[in-house]
Amino acid sequence: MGKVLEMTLRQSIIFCAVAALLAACGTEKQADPLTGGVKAIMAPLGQALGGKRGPAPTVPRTNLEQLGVPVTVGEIAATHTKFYIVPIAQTGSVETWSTSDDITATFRDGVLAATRGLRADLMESATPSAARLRSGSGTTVRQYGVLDGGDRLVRFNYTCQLSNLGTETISVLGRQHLTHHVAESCQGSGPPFTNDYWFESSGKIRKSSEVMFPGLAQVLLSRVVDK
Amino acid sequence: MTGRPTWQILAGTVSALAAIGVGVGFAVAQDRPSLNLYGATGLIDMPSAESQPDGTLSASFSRFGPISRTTLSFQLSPRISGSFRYSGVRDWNSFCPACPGGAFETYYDRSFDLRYQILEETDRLPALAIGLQDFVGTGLLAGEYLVATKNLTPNLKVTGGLGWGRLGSYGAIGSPFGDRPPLVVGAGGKFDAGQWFRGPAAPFAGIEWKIDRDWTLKAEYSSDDYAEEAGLRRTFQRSSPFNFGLEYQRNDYFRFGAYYMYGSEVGVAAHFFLNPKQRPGIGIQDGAPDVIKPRPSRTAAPEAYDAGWVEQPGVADILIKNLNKRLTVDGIHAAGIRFTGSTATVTAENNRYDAEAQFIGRVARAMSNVMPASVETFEIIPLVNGIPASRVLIRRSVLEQSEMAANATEAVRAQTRIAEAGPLRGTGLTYDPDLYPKFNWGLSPYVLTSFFDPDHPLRADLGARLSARFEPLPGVVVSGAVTKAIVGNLSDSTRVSDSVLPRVRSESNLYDREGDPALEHLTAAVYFRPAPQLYGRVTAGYLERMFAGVSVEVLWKRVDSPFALGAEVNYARQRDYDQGFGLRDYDVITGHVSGYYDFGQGYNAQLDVGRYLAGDMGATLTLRRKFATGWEVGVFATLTDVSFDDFGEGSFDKGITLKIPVTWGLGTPSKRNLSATIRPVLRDGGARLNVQDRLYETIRNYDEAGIDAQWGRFWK
Repeated sequence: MGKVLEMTLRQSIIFCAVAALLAACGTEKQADPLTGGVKAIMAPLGQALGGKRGPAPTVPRTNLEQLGVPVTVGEIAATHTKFYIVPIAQTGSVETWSTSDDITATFRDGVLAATRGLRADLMESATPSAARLRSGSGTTVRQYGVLDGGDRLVRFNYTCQLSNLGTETISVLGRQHLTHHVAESCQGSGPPFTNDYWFESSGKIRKSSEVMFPGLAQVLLSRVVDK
Repeated sequence: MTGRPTWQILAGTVSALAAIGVGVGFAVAQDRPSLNLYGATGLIDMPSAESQPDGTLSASFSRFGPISRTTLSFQLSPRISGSFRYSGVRDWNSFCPACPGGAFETYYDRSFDLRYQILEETDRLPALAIGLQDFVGTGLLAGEYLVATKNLTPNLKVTGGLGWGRLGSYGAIGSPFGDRPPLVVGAGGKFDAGQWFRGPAAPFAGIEWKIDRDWTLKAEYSSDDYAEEAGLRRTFQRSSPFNFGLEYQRNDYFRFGAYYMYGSEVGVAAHFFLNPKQRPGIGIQDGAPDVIKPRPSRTAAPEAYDAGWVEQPGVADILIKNLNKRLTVDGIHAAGIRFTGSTATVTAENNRYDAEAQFIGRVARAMSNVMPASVETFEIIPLVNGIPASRVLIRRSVLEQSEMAANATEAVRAQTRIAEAGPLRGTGLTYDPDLYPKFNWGLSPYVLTSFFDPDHPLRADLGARLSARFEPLPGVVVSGAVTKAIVGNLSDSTRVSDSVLPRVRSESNLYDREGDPALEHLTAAVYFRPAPQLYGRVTAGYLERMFAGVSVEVLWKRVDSPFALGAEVNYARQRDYDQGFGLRDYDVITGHVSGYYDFGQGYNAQLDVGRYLAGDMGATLTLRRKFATGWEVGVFATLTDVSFDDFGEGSFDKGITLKIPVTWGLGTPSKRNLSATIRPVLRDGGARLNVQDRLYETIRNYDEAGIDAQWGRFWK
């Protein structure tokens, strides 16, 4: 046993000696200042040299259904990013959904209310209820709390106007849904934005286009599998 | 609905998502005032009355004719700024070999500036500033000024001022405050207060026109005659007082300029700006935390609140294992646990988060998932080097109620108490049996630098460092590091120390030359808590690259007080230059009594009084500004009973300290920092031992102010 351990240790030291010129290694998992600095400088270079990701592949509905859990597909058109989230926790009307690599979105009454695992997370928020949005008229009040680069909480306050855009038949990953389209146009202490919601007759939000927080691209959320 | 189903088919499609939000939201381009060729806020060669945005750190490189300047400037507070400069004049003795001041091909000089903005600009009145240039040094660049700047239109600003010293050397209008006494330079480095604002005063002026967002034109009338450089030594020809420039602001970080100087020379400048207050990538990228797990209501499930579990054998082991299952992924280790039916205490090590609040938040989240429902109070004790640093008390019901609240951040802070953690001995903790003994090692690159050697102003080595750390018990740390240089020129220095003091630091180049490979340090340290509010440390072994010995430190510190008091006594013996196990003959008892004061807003001061490595007695005053991001910028000065003449070049020890958190640049969590101490010159007077992990700096991040500085990360 001791011999095996020795060999492993010696081999890893040799491996590390080679790697150390470019990177750090060992049991310490924190970023090393020098290596980190080099990586930080190289990262944008890598992107500039064409390291950009192409559009993510679309997973067929049947595969998603085989998971046996509800699935929502998210798309960020601006960055050609597609992601899949499944529910991992629920407390009353608050549901937290997660990607496979530990990014979560929390919905309060079906409305995006927090994210975690992103660089710029929506840390806290005040959001209207789904029923309020569904009414399609009047105003709503929203509040977004995000962290600045010095870990200080910055709040954005918004007042939004709801408008009823009528009935629409939408297609969500090959399936047709009859919905009622409501737009929520918001003005406030940050950049203006508009969220869109497509409600089914049951009151369920089948699809929505929401800002994670003002200034950030819209995320299109399609509730594909209901379970 | 708990647990995470596996869904491999979806893996790998989302990692691009995590980077979302890089550079959005707050990266509003600042219309910052420009810098001059001295790297200070100003026109071309003249200063202006403007200030940089608070906290701005800038590095400037400029050159015209034979003159080159490298300057580090810092906006210490909204109104006070300081600069440290390394300047060179080529062809110093070419025309005038017999001129006084020594024979140099290039004359290098270090200088410090200080500036105070008396008035901020208003609609009607200009900004007004007073400044000292090269106020502690050889005085080659010494000048004082009073200057006003007014924006006439959004794109046009004018500056006018009155200069003394070299800023009053051309076109003087008289000497309003009397004659300027001659400067006795000696070894340099002293305050030249007797000269300030004395002698001839001359007006200067300039204009700055912003052509568009990126381009700016500048013109100025300079009151600097360059009497020594252009007149006496003829290193260039000064044929006009007018300078002209065109500058280009590339982005928030870079500005470049090209100039036509004094009717004869072409100049260039590059300025690099940093904002320690904000990480360039804004947020920190890290895996999502555990969701707070709500308890069933007491009425619906009263049996869940039964505290009978406390009596179950082995429950502590199970709980700590379950905690660590959740925390290991976050680089956190729960070390010990104790509980009653209603309160649970967890001691934990943070090996990842620069933000202490995020570490505490993650532990609290894990506890909400693991602890039985009867536990209402969470007591989290952060451990630093195995000893408790503070005690954070959080009510579980507050966590449950506020996680999704619109004011979640404040709501949980309002109900959280940060208190003293006394000694842990005998408090009934059950320790994680897997935690000790603990062994970590690492192999990483390193860079070692040496500045301001007149033969070679910048030297550096790049090499590999193999380090290891062994902790057999809580609070006991055996650690060591070996370095091997791979490329570099540190060992080329042949400078021979002329010090008349014991050569405790001035032979550092011999250590560079002979210490390859080098045993950087090899120590055994014990950290302990002798009593509430008291912290202790004993370190023995090869303490640093130049000294071995024993170091004993005691610190008195409250978590809720800005004041702390410490004492340290060391027996130190000089190590052989080859940095092996051998020792030289010189030894000394050195030590200090240290007072620390936190002024709030990140400003703090430290006063050390005691005996230094060369046996000299004196005091060091250090002023630091620490930003929430972890950046730290400091200045220090040491005066001891060593005379200025005996000290040698620079007259006394002084310098600038920088601490740059790796997280700031990378945007991923890490506790590591890049640290640098920049001294105009490294001599033997006022030298302190470099012992690792002095108590105050390791403990203070977990006091109330330290945790609150990044409280926003609690829920991250």
